[in-house]
Amino acid sequence: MLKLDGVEVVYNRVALVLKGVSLTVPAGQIVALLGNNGAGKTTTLRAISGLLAHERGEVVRGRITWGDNSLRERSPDYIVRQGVVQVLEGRRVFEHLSVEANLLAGGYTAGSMRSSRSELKMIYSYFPRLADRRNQRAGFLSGGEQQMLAIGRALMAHPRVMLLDEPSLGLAPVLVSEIFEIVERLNREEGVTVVLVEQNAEAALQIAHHGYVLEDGRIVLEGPADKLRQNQDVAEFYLGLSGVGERKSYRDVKTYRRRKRWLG
Amino acid sequence: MSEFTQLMVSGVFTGMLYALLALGFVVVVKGSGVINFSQGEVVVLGAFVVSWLLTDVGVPFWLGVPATVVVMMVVGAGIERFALRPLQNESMLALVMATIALGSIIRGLVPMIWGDGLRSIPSLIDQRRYEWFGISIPTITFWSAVMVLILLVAFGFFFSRSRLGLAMQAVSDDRVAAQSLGINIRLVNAVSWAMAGGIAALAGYVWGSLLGVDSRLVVLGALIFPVVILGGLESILGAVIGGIVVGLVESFSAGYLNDDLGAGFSTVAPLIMLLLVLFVRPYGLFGRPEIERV
Repeated sequence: MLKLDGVEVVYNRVALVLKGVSLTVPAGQIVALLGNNGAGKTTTLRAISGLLAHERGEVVRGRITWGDNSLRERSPDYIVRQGVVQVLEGRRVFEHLSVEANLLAGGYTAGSMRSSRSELKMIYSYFPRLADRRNQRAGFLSGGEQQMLAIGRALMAHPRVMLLDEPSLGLAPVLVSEIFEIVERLNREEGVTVVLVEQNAEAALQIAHHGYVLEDGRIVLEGPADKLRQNQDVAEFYLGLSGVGERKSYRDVKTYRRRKRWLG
Repeated sequence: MSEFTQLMVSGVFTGMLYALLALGFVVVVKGSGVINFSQGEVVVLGAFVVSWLLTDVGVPFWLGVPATVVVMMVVGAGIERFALRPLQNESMLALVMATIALGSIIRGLVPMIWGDGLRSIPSLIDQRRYEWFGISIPTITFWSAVMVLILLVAFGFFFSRSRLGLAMQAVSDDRVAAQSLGINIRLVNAVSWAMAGGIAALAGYVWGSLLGVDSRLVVLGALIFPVVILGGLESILGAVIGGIVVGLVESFSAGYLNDDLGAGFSTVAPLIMLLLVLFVRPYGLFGRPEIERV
């Protein structure tokens, strides 16, 4: 079980971005983390994976634990070795390396080059498109293929928890559902626990077991995914619907938001 | 015609020695992404260490050169640990300025330790020259070129086949992504600087043998840039090709143009070529343009 308890993150020693986030991710589940731009979703993931230093961020309070191990103030490579691997937002494939080299680099912590090579077949079975392009430079793949490569690369590290940051970003709807299907399969067949950060709340809640809604560095709502989908606030606010499948105009959403912010 | 062949052959061989200078630079870019302006000074340090070991301490050649390689690897790793790691989350500009400062420090330190007289390196293969078909090449140049080729193959294998080599390439491509996969950035940075130090030791030995060891060797540092700009900042094969091109330009301009343009022209010619290349291809002849899909 991955657990965050009252986590506070400060950027540049002044800007408090996470204001006490607590959440629980039971092993074997998919947990969605929803919210708007700047709500603190990515920061939450980076706090877990230890990748805040590049952004001059720092966890100043709270506990982050995976099973019995504390992940706070640990180096990113220690955290990966514990089985917690983040797939960064914007794919971030190694553009100048081949698809296969990308995957092999993903297996860095998992063992020798030979053992990594023997695992390529498993990755290609999940992502047949990557098998076709194994010798191509990753920078020349399409966006969807790059996202698949980013996930496949992380899989090579033998994750028990995968932190997925906006895998749907900039992808066509067909690809989004293809990728989400694969994520669901990985969860079901390989038992990978998934923390899924998404702006595409609809897609995320379809595969998630549980969801959290972040706003301005705080968790404002949580619940089982199907409950969240029926929740009126979420439906209006994140799924853009009001009533039964009727689209709401942007102006109403804005007023609603403003009211909500004032009422706290 | 025979003058032409002679100039070409000696250009190619000297070019291999330029490649050796540039190799240390390339390895650092590959492994840590840092543009290192102090590689020339590190080479000078290597030259002083090897000449000190071989003449003052009197260590035999077969022990002295490997010992210098080890010492310089430690120096390289030390530079990474104490000068660059504290800056690891700072901007590239800060890192580059740090390497420039480092260069000045080494330049000042060397005469403080060893004085500023000209030293020599007792050569195993003295000053003879090989003569083939009327073409003559200093023995030291020939064997150094052979060594560069061996290094080239070894590094090629290391970067494409080994786990650490692949991790180094990953780090130079995207540091954060590499870290997200558990690649230990500190280890990779330290290894690349240690490799650069070891290469600098070899370069110091070779160039010190050719030109004599004194602090004026730092001018070699300036020649790293035409080589790597031509060859691409992080291509090992590119460094060799760039080195050969620079060697040829220098050799031909020395042979044909120095009489008309003054004796120093051959030294400047590679730098003029650097400028011209930058006008046409800002990322170098073999460098990688940033991949952008449209």
